[in-house]
Amino acid sequence: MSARTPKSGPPAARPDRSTEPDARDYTEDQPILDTLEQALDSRLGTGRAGSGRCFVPRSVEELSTFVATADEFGGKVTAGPPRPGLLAVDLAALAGVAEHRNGRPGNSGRHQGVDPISQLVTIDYGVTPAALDAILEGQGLELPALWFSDPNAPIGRAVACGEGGPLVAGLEAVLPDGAVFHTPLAPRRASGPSPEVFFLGRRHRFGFLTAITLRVRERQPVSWFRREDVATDLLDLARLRLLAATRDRGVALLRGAGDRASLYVAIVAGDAVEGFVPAAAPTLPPANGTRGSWSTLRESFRRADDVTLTAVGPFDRHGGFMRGPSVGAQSIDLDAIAARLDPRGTFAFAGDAAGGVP
Amino acid sequence: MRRGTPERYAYAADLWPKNQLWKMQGEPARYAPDAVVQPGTEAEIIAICAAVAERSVPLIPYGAGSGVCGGTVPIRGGVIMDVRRLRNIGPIDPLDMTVTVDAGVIGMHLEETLAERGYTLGHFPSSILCSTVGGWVAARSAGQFSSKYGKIEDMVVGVRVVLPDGRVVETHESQPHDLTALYVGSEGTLGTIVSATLRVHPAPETQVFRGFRFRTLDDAVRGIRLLMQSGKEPCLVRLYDPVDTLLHRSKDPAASFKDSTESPSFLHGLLDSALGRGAKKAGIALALGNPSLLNRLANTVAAECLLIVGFEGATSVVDRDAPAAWRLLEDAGGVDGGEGPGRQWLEKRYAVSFKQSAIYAAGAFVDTLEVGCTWSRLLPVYHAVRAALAPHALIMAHMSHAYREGCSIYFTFAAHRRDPKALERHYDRVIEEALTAVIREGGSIAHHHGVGLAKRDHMAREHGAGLRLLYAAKDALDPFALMNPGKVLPDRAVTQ
Repeated sequence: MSARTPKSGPPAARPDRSTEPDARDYTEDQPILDTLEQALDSRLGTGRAGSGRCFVPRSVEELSTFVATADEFGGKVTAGPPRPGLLAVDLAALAGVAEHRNGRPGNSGRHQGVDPISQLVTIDYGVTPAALDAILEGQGLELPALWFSDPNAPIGRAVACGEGGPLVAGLEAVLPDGAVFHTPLAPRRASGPSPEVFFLGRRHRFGFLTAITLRVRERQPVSWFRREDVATDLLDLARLRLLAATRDRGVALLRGAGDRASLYVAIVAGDAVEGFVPAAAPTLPPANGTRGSWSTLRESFRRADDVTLTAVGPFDRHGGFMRGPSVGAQSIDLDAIAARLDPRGTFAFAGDAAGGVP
Repeated sequence: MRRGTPERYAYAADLWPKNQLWKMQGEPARYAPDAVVQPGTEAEIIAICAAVAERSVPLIPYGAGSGVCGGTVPIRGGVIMDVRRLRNIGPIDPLDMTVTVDAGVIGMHLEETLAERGYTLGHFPSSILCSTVGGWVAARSAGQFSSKYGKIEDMVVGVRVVLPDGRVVETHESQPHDLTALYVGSEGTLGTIVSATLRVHPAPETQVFRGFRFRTLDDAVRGIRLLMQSGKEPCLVRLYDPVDTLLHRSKDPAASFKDSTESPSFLHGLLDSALGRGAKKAGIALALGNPSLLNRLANTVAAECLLIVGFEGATSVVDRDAPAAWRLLEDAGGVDGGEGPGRQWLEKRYAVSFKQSAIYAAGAFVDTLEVGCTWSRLLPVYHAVRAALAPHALIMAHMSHAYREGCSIYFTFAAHRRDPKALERHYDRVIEEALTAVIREGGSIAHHHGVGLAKRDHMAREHGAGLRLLYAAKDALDPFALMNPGKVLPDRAVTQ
């Protein structure tokens, strides 16, 4: 890996460069580090990070140092398995339920772990839906079903790939220069555009997603019902149910094959649903990434062998759009913004198709 | 293009109170545009973008000028582009339940058109008579029924935007590289929104309202939280704090609560209550001359809180959910006050602040501040802001725009100073102290009024390092910083 040599050594603690992207606070009494590998060894411990290895952060602060060092010395980071010439990081190693970082409730710090009053939970990247549900059970809360296709995969990865968007109330990320960023936590805001737009489904193009605040809800027993019919008819039925104010816990169209499909609904009260039969809770097939309006979904059903409409329900009041993972597509404007945010290209490979998302 | 003095003065100000404070100091148009243009087509907008870029002239997209944060004040001159000639309302897509609407369409015109077709957007800001679809999207507006239909960002499926370089982009939330959320809330700083595709809903079959009285604000907040987390979807949730409730009751001993906190009658109502109509102007100074005393007095006398809740939609759904909601609220300590308060609120729902001048002429200001909080931070933010402002201004609040995870607090405050310059300094101090308290206690500085100039310098504390993402977007899309300069994002020198 080629590496730039900085003019002098790094600071002992990183300065706040959140609003001063090109500033450096070098001090003369620091050791001079000539290479990226030296700097990583010095700051993170010998042998923990480097080209061809996968750095396992113990905290967001360590991840911040890792990214900042890469940025300073011209390294390129990737959220994936070790790859030649790239600094890989295992984000799934961050797998706790977040606590206030600075002991203050303000929006400037990390958000509360489980907030049962607001029905929110802030988790690290690597927490899985199954693990989170076990944590929430003790609080009388639950993660809504069917929002994440793999119950044993990191929620952070799913969010970075485009799943669970309407559940996300806030997030934390490490930006390309190592700065740690938290979205303000409020049910809705009007303080400019939502910075979340740079992380949901963006596959770490603008920074490493490290924590997510999710909307959860009171734990209540639900009953599942199923109906099998012509796919497009079921799609219309799902659409109408969602347009009406229902208290369904979730609606899923599963395994549409040819012109047939099964529609599942979950009802809190357990009342029978006309035209449906009791059923076991469905599991999701691997998300297929299709997204679209109702009209495009109908076309998809006509053409596809296996289409899934996942988890539209109370948190997605307006429904109507398939929530699948993004396909990592780029656009001129996204690339231009990323280039401004990350002028050294530290994250140029963080979320590309080859690097994937761990 | 118009360059005359009347047009330049007419477009110099929106409804931001600072404009009034400047007028009191003899400056009716502290920041006037150099010209005003009124394009009628997207092609004309593209041509205007090319013309201003060639001359490095600022360009400020303009809807109806009803903003209250200075979002269209041309602080660096330039050209104001009034988009109200863009007023097409497209056909409704009955399958996707969407409609594409030009940016210049006035809100009430859209809602009336949809109603004729059997639909509603569900977006009813108090400014609906004097605000545009483009302005709603640009500033992340909220309507009075947001608890059911969401804010405008929940309604926008996609936008069509003319970028500063003349490119036209059309976003849609189903696109993998969708940037709709970047343009929503950008307040004209990234481009000019020319149309938006919005979700619509079947027109409601029925509508019911009910008032409840609670002994304490804590009980009432708990009640609306439980309601919102129950899965029912009220369209309207408005909880008045004890002082706001007292003001209304004093105006109407029969407890015909009227919503005047968003209206010019707020201070007039206060003075009518305290002094009678004859002494209004002189009474403003008296009433607001000692806000600490007035706040203490109000807090001592004030006792209960009024909550107004409404449901609308399909009759079968409303018949199912509303009675259950009433029971839930009674279980939480609410006393049913019947339909009257809600119906009376409905009659005054669009009485916005067109006639503030009488208040300002008396040497006072009145303003509002809407902040967003999670439920766990709602009361801490409320008490912190009240404590911060109590020495400086008469303050009251209501909670509205309730969601599962939190709610907005809408503060109303008023103060008086004899000298106009001192009044402006006092106004700045009040805003600063209020927003500092909001951020310290974990709220967001804006729920639906936007940022503009009013909250721009608090954005660094709101977003921290995240501000750099927004700077990157600004630099990429508007590299010469010609689009509505000085708005939303603080000057980088200030943040450093």
